[in-house]
Amino acid sequence: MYLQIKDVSKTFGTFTALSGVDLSIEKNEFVSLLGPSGSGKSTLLRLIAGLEQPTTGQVLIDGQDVTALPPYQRGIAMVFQDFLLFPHMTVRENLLFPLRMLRMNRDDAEERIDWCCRILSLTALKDRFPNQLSGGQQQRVALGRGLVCRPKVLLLDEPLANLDRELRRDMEIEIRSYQIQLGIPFVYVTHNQEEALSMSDKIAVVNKGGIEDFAEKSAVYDRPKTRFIAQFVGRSNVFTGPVEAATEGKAIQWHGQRIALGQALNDSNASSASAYIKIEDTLIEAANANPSGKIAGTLRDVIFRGQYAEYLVTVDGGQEVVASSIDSATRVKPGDPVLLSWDTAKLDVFPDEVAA
Amino acid sequence: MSPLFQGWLKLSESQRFLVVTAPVVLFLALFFLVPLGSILVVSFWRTESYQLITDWNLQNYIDVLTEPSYRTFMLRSVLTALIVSLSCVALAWPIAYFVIRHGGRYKLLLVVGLAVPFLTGIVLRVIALQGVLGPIGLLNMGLMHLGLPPFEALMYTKTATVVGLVYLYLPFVTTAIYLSLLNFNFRLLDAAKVFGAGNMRAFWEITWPLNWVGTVIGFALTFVPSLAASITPRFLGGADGTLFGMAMGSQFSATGTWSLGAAMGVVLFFVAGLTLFTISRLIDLKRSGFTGAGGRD
Repeated sequence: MYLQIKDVSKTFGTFTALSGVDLSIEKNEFVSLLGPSGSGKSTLLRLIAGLEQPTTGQVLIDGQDVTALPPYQRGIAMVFQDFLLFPHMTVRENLLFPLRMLRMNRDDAEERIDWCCRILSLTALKDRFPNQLSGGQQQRVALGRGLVCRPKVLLLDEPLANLDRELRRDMEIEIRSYQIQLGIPFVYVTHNQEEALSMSDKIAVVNKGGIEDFAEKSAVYDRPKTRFIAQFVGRSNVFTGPVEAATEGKAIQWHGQRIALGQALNDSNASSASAYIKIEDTLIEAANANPSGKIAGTLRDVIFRGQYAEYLVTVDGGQEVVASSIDSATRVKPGDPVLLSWDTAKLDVFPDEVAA
Repeated sequence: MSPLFQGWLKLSESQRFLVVTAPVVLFLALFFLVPLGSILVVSFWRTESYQLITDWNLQNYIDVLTEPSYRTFMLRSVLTALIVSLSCVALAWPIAYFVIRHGGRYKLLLVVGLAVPFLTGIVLRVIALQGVLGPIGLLNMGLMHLGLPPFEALMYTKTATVVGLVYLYLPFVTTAIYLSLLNFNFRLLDAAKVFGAGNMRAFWEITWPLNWVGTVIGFALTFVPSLAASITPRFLGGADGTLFGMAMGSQFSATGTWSLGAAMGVVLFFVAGLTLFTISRLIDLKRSGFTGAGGRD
């Protein structure tokens, strides 16, 4: 393991930001720390950086215990959300800064800066000051400053949050390609699941100061391990209600509808549960099909999203369910009666905690 | 709508500009340019037995620039102002830094608190200092109480003048540096530390240059009035502590040589102006971190 976090906790006064976090990252992995704001993901990153000291636990980089080391002795670099370029230095001087601190000799430093400017297309901007750059250019300089000293680990703290959508998409691809090129782990903090899903190899879902799951991104997306992940990652319809026995397995009684659970909850005696189905796994068709095992409703509206559309369906019983699909594939209009269905195996079912 | 407001609406853009700026221009002309101009004029005249005589000559300037005592006073004034401003900067930095970092929601209160002595007026403050530094002042009484010998030479020395002036101008410098630090993004220091700087290095590489303009403004705010100081050295400075501003003041009161005083004023004006010019050359706005400075090219 290249970067290891062992049983790390961090408290600020009476507030517990992180408790008992373990995380191991391989040398060539792109890992996202995904979580809502206040979940502790930024604190975790700052602990790896050495900008905060853990209350308990250890941080190891490349086998070395760096817990007690200051940031600059850890061989890490960081890209910040608001870039934090030094405003009184030109692009070149900003890139030179980490090298100057390493006391690298002039020729080597210039070579590094040239390399950096080349891969990030900054050569023409070398003599500008940060306030003469656009957001995307500043972002590239911030990235360059992170890469120029060839760190052992690059930490990225929501680096795309301040960029507009289109630029963000381009930068996602670029950042991913630099990671592959350099072969060092990138630890990327974000609250944006699209970013996490598009760039990372693995995702650590952070919630309330702990890691809910750390797994391949497809596993996190397709098989959420906890209720929180099911809610937070992707968009899902949720059916919550009392559990009852059905002809095959169990079912949730949901506002007069019966949601069959297949094999789920077979070993559980929970009296109530929630079932999640991703909106893209929720299928919609016109009401003239075979209605058996499907849920009937009325199409309320269609939200066109470009490559796909979201169908807002009011089911019989008054609740709303969303289905997404390629627009042209579904010939239904608002007001039409429709049928909803899904593969029962794709439901993620979590028993509700029993209220004491 | 009042007729006044209707009239305002009828004015063109440039007329409105005139209405708004005229009072300011008038004020400056009447109370700044006119006195300054008359000082300049008087400095080329002559005074004899408390009478101004209007024959144009350069004698006052020759006196100011060649008379050894005036040169001494000027040199002493420049040196005093330099020591005072540097001391103020050195003291104000830690104060302002501490207030910004640890002041929490009492930041403003703490900075305002520093200016409380201002409410008592300059004379009272200088006299209070006399009470502390004087031969039987608080400091010496304390020393004697502890069985230690008193400071013979504290009051009525150049040191006393410096202490008095530092005391006087410290709040200005602190406020200037405080305001500068208020706009400083301390998270830049996180970046500096991640990229290899220790605490001290981060300060000199990032904090200091990005608050340089505020520091220079604080310096100038102290230097210029210290250069012309007359009340503080008169009360605290003693017989051999005469400063240029004091000597100038006496031309207008005791000796009644107004035109010589005026010439001294003009010289002081130029020395102060030259200092400000030199200081302004030390500022590179592009490197100040001010957004907008420089602009896109």
